Amino acid sequence: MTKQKSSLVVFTDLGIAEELKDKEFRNQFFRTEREIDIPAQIKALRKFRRMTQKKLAESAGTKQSAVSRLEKSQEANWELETLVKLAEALDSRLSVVIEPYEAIVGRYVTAAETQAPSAATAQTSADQTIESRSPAGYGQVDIIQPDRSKLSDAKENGPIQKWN
Amino acid sequence: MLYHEKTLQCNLKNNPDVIFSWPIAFYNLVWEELEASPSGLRGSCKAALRRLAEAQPGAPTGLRLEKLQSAITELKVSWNRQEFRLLFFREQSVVYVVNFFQKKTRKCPPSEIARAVGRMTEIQVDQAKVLTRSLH
Repeated sequence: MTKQKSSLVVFTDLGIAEELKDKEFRNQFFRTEREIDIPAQIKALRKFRRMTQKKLAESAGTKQSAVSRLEKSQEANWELETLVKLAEALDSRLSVVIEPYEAIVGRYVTAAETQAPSAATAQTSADQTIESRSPAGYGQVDIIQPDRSKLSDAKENGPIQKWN
Repeated sequence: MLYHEKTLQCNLKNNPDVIFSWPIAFYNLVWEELEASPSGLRGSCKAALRRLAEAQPGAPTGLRLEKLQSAITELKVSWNRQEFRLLFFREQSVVYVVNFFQKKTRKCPPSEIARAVGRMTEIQVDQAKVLTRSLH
């Protein structure tokens, strides 16, 4: 773990890569990530599709309050079928990826831990949005999101037909 | 170079293997409490804090956040059917976590908010001193 301490505060990278060696920690860590990611993806996609919660609920055959609850991360036990219906209503694909933790622990090594700014190469903060923490990353249920560049394109020129 | 400056520098160097994130700082006591907490609870808190650090303006975070007072925001975390709260503020691109406690009442207790505000003031005063020293 990398940290720097002053008299008042500790600057830290949270030491996640190290902590993930503990099974109880990583179980809860991945569970929480899933609880955060799914609502964020659904909300982002719904906005991209310019749908209200009510419209999405109607398309998915559920209630507006259920969509609202889901987007507020208040629903931790999603049924797969519910997610499939929501993905369909959002004209998206639901992807489930299960990955061994050894294969992904490297993704949790932070900038300060790598300590190799000179070897750094390709992406700025602007490129790092929900996509970068997405699907393939976490071995969870994810709804694949559209390319952001296409998203801005669609915003300017009207929706989805620009994609194809 | 300070740790958070190093983090920012690395982030801005465009390393594709490194997810961009803003630095996180903890009030000393809060960090000690978090590190002493059960590993499951730490897992939950650190997953939420990592997302908070990576949050981009305008993009949905999926986090349960609630604005309190004096720039203090509440991050809600659940673990083992219990509710916990992390109170933080952002300043100069750094997330400062200034309080951490188990929620037992419906609303965030005013005493906990006051504690967070007090610690925020302490940090701000300390930073101002550091800045003044560096200018002289």
